[in-house]
Amino acid sequence: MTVSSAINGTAAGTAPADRRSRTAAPQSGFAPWKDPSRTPIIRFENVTKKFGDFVAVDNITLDIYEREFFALLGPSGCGKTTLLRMLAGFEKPTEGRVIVDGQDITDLAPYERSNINMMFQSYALFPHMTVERNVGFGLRQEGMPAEEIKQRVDEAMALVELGKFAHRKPHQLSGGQQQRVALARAIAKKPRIMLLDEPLGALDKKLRNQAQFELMRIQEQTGTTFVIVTHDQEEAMTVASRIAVMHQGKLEQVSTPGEIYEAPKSRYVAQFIGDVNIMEGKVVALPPDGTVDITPASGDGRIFKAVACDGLAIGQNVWLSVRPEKFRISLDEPQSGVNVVKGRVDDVGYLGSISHYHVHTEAGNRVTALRANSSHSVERAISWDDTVWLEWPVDASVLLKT
Amino acid sequence: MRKWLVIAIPYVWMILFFLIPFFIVFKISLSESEISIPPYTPVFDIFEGWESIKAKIGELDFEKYSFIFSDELYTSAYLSSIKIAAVSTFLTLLIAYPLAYGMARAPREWQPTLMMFVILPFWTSFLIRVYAWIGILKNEGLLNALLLNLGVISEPLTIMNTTMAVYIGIVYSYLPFMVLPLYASLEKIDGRLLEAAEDLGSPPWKAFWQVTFPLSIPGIVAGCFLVFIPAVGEFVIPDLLGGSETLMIGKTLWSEFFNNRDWPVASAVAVLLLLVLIIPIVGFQWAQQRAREAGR
Repeated sequence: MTVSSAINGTAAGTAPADRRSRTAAPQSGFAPWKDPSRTPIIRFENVTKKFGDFVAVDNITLDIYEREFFALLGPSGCGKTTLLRMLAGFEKPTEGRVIVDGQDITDLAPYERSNINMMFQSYALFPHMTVERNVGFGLRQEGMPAEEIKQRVDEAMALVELGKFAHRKPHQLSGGQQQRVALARAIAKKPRIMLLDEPLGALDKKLRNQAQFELMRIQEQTGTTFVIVTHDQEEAMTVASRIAVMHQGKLEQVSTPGEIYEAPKSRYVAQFIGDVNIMEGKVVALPPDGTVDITPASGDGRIFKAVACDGLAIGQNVWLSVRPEKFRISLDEPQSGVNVVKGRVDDVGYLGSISHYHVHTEAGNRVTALRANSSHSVERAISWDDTVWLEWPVDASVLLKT
Repeated sequence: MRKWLVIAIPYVWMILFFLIPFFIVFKISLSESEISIPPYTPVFDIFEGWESIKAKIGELDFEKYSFIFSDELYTSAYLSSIKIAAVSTFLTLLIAYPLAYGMARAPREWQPTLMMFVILPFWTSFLIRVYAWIGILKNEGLLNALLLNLGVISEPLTIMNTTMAVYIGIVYSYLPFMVLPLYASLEKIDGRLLEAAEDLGSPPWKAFWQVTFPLSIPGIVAGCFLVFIPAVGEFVIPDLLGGSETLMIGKTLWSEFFNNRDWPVASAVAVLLLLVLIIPIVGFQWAQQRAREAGR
């Protein structure tokens, strides 16, 4: 299937660049987490999970709302899969409660959680059953009449565009087709909550992008709440309405993709999502205009200026996070004496529409700057060993306290 | 050249130690018994020349085979062997499946130890192990002593020299041949399949019948053949543990050879036994082939 047919309805024909803004709010103003009157469909309440001495999930409290496409993001071993498996019922929390639809399901076995279904990493398709029997498996467990099963199976297979493979065995299918069978098998049960454990991890990059759109389409069409576990930040940014970034069993930040990218709360989150340059410094002044003056830990005496946040004190160590695309790179020294770093170009990566510049600053840091190769540039091209200045606006950096 | 040698060795082995002996046995089965050394006639002698051999081939006939088919003793011995082998195979499966299942579900670090326990009996001679069962099963044996002391029974059970003892002996002796292929197929099953079944609303015992059991069928088939095929021709166990009522073709064959000294009939019995077994052996090969193909 093609990308354009994957994007249905309102989004048809939108350029890839619009993806993020669309998915961050599937319907305009879709932000139930901001509405205190809404009750979440899923609530983790002070959930801790230990395996022996290892704390996989550390006292997590998290609300997920109906129709959300919620991503649990983090490196392997951060506890994201454990959290998902507790929702499915395969792991029992050591402490705390899992509440779904106001009902405490902490002690329910997986087969008793009829409104939650999971799509497994590497799919876990039954190798001895045809595609059709795989998809109908969950319905047969309910003792549903045969014709109704047939109808629901056809429906689910049509949803993932898999109809003509009904009588094949899983090993006769390609990876992408298997992934769709796994999706159809879970969705055939019409769960209220769908769990996806690294659902696209086994696909190559091109197929993965298509599959992401398909997941989004299916999530919107069925109105199911999706919870996805992934270590791929791009994937999380693409599909999710909100992302929870996890680190060592704790939630680092739970926000929309846009907020996570533009306003990370810690160096960990900033570094995990996309490329970022982190610069350390000390607070020297807090002018009344709501900015903060910072002296870099190592530098030429120029100060950095950023938008202040609450709870800052003179002398405190802070970090500035600047995305590569926020830098303005030039061969001439800028007039302003604020937010300027001088350096030498180590490397240039030409990527067609944009170029990456790895700059070795006078202070001894390596930073990455990014510049769009817009046409008709009259400037001389920046090249290796050029001395350059990097400058960024006061509001383009994010001040991080941890 | 070296490649051919590698391929040739097993074939030479088969020809020397299976095919040639088989043709000798087959030839004897077509001969007449006689009180002489060897106890059959004609005897081919290549030094007497081609004409003599041609004349002697004319003396061969299938009379012993028609004799075997006409005498009810042999057909019932074949049928009884097949029945005893089939029943013991089924009993072995019933005992081996839970064992293999337990092994496959045991913690990883335990599995090699459990595997060793299954193989451990092979370290003792098969014959000695069967003899040991006599000590357990006889009227004044360990089993009866135990049951009498516990007060479960007041009279010793007669197990020794019955078909029951033969079943016990076969099930015991061939258990590892069932456990090992079962374990191999159960151990291969991805645990996530069972999680998926549970997630889709199937309680664990239903998931067993819908997922684990069908996926272990190749192991069941392999194990059943590995037990059934040798059990049909079993001689030692019915001879040592069974009584006069236990009719098995291996025993008949033995008494034909050593008691009656009727080599041609004994050879004909052996050839027919081979034919009887070829069907399940071919079936086994076919099942193995299919399992390999299903596993990609």
